Amino acid sequence: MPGRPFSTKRLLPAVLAALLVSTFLPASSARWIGDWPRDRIQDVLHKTYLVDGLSRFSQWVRPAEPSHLVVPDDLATRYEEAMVYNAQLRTRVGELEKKVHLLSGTHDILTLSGYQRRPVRVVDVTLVGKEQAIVIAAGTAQGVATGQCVVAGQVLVGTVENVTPHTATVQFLTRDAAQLRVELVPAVPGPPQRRTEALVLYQRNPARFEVEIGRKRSVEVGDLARLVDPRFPDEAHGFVVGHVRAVVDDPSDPLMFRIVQIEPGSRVGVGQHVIVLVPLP
Amino acid sequence: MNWLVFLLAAYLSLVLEAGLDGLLQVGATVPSLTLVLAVHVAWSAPRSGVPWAMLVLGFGQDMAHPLRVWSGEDLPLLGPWCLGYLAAGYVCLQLRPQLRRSSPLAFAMMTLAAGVFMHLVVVALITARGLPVPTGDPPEGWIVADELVARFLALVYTILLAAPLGVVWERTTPLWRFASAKHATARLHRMD
Repeated sequence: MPGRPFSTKRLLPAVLAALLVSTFLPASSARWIGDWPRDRIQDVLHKTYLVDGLSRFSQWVRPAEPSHLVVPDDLATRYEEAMVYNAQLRTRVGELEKKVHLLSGTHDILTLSGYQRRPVRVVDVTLVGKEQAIVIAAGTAQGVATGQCVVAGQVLVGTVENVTPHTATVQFLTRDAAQLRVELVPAVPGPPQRRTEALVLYQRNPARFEVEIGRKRSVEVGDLARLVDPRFPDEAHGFVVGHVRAVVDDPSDPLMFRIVQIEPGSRVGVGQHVIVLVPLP
Repeated sequence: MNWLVFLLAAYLSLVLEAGLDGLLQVGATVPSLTLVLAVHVAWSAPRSGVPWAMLVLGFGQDMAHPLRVWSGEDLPLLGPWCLGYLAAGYVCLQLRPQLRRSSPLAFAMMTLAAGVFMHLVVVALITARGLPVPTGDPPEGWIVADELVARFLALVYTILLAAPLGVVWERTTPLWRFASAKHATARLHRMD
């Protein structure tokens, strides 16, 4: 009957193709398709108690052989709980290690000789040209001068640009097309020692530093970019500019080069405090 | 073919497989009662109904036996068993004119042929799914050689059961109304 739209000959190839595609679907899509019917089939099999009854009958006719290696259910559950708790503890230890490292960096700032550390509050966010900047509540009267470094914790925020008697404007490091020389080092130092020096370029869009490096140079996600730029005062060296967010193949030459994407250190906002490194007279 | 009887038989096979696996298990080998039913249907049902019956049985197997993937979760993958049973049905359709249905030995041989193709298709598809392209998602602990050996042993066990079970299924043939379906199909062809 040529007019039948749902004949076996017409439908079967389509079903065959659909099953082939379904076989090679990624797990998420396969789960989306299969979860509901799987649950219904399991319901149909198990909610009639036939399977359970037959299983009990099987167990009665042919009891399972006792084994000395059988793990009691509660022990298995406790083991799984312990593993979860262990994973939580490991995560916590990792967080604390990072905090300790950050605090040790702060200690370095506090022990920086020849400089007065002046904590000041950010009172405004403004624009200098097309670039965003912050205004701090300290000026020439407090010893703040143009070119001084402003930090927040271990992060180098920027440098003082304009100063009035009681306020100063701080321009961020993240200016469009700004180039900085940094060293890329592990966030938590330890063997094997790694250090890669590079000249990174900031672009407003997509708001990150980037640098092209050879494939053989060792940089990993999570590494810190610390300033080593000779154009900045010595006290700024070693402060964090950002952290490595991704290391991807260079699309123009993937066999030779990779592009390191560096997320800038967190920007400060109104109401937060920063530290101005004021040289002692 | 009486599809209600078929669905009841498919359900019964799945239930018996799931419930009696502890009783029937020899080592790690469990027979497939569904395969025996598939051969019974593929041997006796009208040609046009066989693929759909195989798809229903394969669907049940796909959903009752989800794959254990590397993440440790069960993945209900729709496809491998459906296509495997479809292959088994195709083999039966090709061989059934040459064999006598009433012989238990012939039924066992048919089960062997259908089972070999079914398992080869299932193993090939799941293995292909584990290749880096296109999916790269192999099941946990999937070793092709181990799978083939285990499935061959299960098939041998199934064949041993197939001869008596085939006789049992054949006794139920009047319920299935295979003959009337064939006559109806023939009538339709004559009308064409």
